[in-house]
Amino acid sequence: MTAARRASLVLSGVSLVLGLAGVVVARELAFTAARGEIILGLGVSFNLLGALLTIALSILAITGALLGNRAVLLSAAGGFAIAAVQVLAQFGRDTNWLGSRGSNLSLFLALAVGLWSLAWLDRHRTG
Amino acid sequence: MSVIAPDPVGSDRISRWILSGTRIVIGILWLTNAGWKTPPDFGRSTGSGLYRYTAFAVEHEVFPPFAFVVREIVIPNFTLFGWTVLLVEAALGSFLLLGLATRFWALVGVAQAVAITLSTLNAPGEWNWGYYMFIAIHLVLFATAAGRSWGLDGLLSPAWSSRDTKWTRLLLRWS
Repeated sequence: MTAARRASLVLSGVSLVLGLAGVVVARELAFTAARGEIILGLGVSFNLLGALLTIALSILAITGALLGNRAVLLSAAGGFAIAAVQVLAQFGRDTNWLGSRGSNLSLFLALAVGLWSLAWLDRHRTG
Repeated sequence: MSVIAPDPVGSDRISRWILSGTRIVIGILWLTNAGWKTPPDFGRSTGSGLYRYTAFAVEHEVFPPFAFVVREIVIPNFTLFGWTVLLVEAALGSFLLLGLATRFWALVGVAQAVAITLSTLNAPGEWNWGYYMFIAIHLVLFATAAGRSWGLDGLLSPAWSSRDTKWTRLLLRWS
């Protein structure tokens, strides 16, 4: 396994853990509650939809890394980029589908940029 | 008798772990900080949040020219300023966590830490040395190119070196 794929697994593994923690802390909130529950004082917050979406995108990224499939990895990166745009559009407003805050913007941006960069590196090495 | 020079910073495993750990902690610090910069008014209507801390620059002046800029330019355009701070701090969290373009973002961190220092240093109950350390830690991340230790800069720089484009040259310089 290449270093890029191992790094992709680390990134997506961290986001999977955060998504799972999100399900635990947000279990009593409404599915799309505008104010999500914060995980361990880290600033990242989720409602159930936000946590489940993070889990789904993380599993997609893990699958892409394990299979060495750049298209799948890039799809996950694109999903996290869209989630970052959701924060910009809805954070601090009455409607906030993912229950997210500014910290989620930072997290989703890191996942989108990180996975995209690693997919680029894998392509560069094999291409 | 010959003298053996010590290894450069970050060349042994323990130093690399410490450098990457420091970079990640500072990344998490910015990520956490981005959480309470809340649009759309960033605390202006309630005198709380980012607005409260920004107003400290005028109420508890540290450096008169900085206080002038905050009073005359920042506060009248506070929504734009709030969005800028949110985006910069969110990006600082992202890129320092990843260790991508680390030296560039470490300098952005220095600038942001200086701005925070000039806003809040004289506010009641603040510990001055905390702000000086905040600036110093970013300088250390810059000086040691901390993204090359267990960061994306270290992984990506060989590929950037082999592709001689404007962007790869820039990224190499920033890493």
